[in-house]
Amino acid sequence: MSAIGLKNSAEHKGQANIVRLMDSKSENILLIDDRPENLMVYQSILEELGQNLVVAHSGEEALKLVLKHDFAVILLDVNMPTMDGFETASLIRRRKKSSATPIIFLTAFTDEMGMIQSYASGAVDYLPTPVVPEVLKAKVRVFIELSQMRRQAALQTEERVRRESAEASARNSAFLVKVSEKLTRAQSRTELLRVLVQLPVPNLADVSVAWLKDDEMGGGHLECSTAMGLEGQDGPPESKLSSLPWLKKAAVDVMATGEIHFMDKIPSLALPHTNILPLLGSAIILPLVVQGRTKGCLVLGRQRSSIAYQLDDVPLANDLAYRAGAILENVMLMEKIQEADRRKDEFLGMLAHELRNPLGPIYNAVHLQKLLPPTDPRMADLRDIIDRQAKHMGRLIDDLLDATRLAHGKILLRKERCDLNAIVHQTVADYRTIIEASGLQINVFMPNATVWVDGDPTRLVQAIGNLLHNAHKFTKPGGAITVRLDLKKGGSAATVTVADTGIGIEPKMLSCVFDVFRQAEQGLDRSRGGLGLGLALVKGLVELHNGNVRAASPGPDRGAKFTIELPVESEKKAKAQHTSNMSAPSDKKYRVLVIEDNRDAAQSAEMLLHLEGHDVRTAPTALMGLEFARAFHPQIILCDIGLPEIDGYQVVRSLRQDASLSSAYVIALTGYGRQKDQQQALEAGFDLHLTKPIDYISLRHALTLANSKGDKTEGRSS
Amino acid sequence: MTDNAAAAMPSQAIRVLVVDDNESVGKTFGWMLEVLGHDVRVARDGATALDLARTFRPEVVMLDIGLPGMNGYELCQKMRAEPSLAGCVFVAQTGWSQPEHLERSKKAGFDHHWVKPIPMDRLEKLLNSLSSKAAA
Repeated sequence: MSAIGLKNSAEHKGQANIVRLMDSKSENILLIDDRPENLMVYQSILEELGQNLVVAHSGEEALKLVLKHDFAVILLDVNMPTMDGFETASLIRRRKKSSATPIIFLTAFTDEMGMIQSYASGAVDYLPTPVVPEVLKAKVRVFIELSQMRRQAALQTEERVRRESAEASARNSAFLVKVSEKLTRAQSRTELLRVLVQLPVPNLADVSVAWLKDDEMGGGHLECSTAMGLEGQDGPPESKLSSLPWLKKAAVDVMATGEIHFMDKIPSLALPHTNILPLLGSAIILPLVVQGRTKGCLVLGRQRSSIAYQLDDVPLANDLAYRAGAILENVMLMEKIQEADRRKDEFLGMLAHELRNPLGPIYNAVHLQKLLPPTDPRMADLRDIIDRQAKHMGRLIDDLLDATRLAHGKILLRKERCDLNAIVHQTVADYRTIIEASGLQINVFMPNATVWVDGDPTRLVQAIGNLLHNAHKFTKPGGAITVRLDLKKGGSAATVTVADTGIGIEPKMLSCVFDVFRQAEQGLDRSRGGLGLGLALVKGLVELHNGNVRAASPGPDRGAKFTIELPVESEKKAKAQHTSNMSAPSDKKYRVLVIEDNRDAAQSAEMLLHLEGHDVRTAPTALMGLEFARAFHPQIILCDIGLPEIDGYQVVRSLRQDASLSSAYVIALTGYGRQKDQQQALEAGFDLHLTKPIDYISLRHALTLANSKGDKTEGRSS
Repeated sequence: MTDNAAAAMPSQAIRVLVVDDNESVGKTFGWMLEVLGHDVRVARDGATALDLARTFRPEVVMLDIGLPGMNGYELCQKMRAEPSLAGCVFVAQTGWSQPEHLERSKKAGFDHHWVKPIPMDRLEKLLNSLSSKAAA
């Protein structure tokens, strides 16, 4: 073993020193002497100890070395030129790193003063020079052994700490695995919270509470609170915790900010005089985060008698809360799906129920028509019953389809400038008979002016009609329905209000009356019926018109008021663009061809048109239809789309290619009322698309449109 | 009256009480049973039906479930408790068709749970069997 003097080739030697010093199995011994020959002597004596010998030729050099490295023992020459041994020793002592390093003084003076001074400056031993090799070796060996023992002890401590921390981290991982395992089994939020509060007790907390924000009811509400670790106390633990205002406040704060709240020392003042959590000493409140949003919080508490929480406890607690948040997300999603599924099933059951109801009287009436002689006075009643019930059924189906279209954004408005005044008048007229027949009074307040809006008249009639239908349905005989049309100040908007004196709306239902399928609970009896779509349609349709809807009610049995607000068009603009689409049905008679393979549908259409005085032919196939058309030259053609062999689209294309037939007004008949079907029909060359069943009213309407087209064509040709 | 209906004429008229808040249903049902030769009364709500039942003593009660105020289940239970209606046949007529609804009808004391629209042949069969029993 060699040590190289620092004086020679400092660079080379420095590296050697470092290499040696990194050998952790040997101890470092620092030899300080200004005379190289002395150093040589010490080195040769100590070499056989097999340790790292580091040499320094001055006090300054030695100080630099002790800063960098640990030494088992330092041999220090007292008599050195620039900084003597005493000074060097006291400086070595002052450095924290070397304050306990044993120093052995080497000196030629053996007087008592020198010895006292040596010990005073920090020496642990004292050797006279020239040294006795055996003595030097023996002394140094003692310190080496001491250092080795110390190092061993330090290593053992380090090892123990490492093992403990490894154990703790293994315990924590096992805990977190258990957390995930247990939480993932939860099927609902309530269940999740129940499991969540059980997990940290007793290892991580003495008490734990979990809260969720009540989203449905608006922010700040706490629900589903569950607590663990408070079983021995009186009353439900949740209420006890929420009765601690500071804790509730802290929880609300955590939920608002999403930040962890750490309370290592809860002042006893914060605890009320009762026995509510008298011992809570420290707490950590953690946010439960779902997709970046704080949905709740978890409170972990330790009793006053337990060790208070330290910042070191936060990471594990946070891991727990983080995992709970991730699983909460799944649970919430699952609950949403289950809820949607439940609602869907409920809706399908209700749909079947509502559709079956009108079927009964229709069947009965048809049966009776067969049984009774044609002259029986009840015949007229039976016809009315079939008419009313079939219309009711049609309305249900229309509502259902419209709601679906609305939900998929598939309703396209045929907007035009129209007079809201006329629309409200028309709707009221449509409903007046049925409302008054039920013993209800209807009052109408309208301004004496036109109110131009940019809208689809059919859809606006539908929206206002739904409100009237609703008011009629929920108001007992003797009540009143009031319809108002008002222009807002400044004339930028108009409101249509339908108020009734009916059953009213519970305050908590007010916010969701416009939701799809949200009817007030009717239970199984469903004596009022309906699909719960009417108001949702009103909202959807009005919003398509850039308007809004409102519902108000002073409470159950105190009536309800619904308001539609629509933007109003300036009169000038409106006048310029207004074209009336509401021309009265004309009495003009037409040649009409009906191409329809369903015999009943063809026959009923023929009968209706014939009664109106038109000249009608029917054809059951496309080929016959085209043949008839060429011979008969119809002005109006009603054509089914789903014909055998050649479909309606091909028929209309052939018709359009025939010069003699190209001016005919061709109407498509289909069972599908989807926007796509309408679009396709118009693109193929149809003038109009009608959804089956074709009733009297839509047929009259179609003829009116045909008439106006005819007029325009005539106008152009003249 | 057609020949068909005449052929189906029961040997003995059955007293039938129809309870339905839908006027059209009550009316058509009533007429139909009249045509079939039975004695029919129609009520539109539970309270009227109970009053009527005490004097009319129906042999068959056709009950709608969705009645305002007192629903069909409650009404059936009340009528079952009437000694004067012992032996009366109770038929639930409803738009609900799920198993839980059938179960609930059974519990309420109904003999039959028929889903709307009521099949006429089934009703005729029931009335005819009661009729021939009465005649025998």
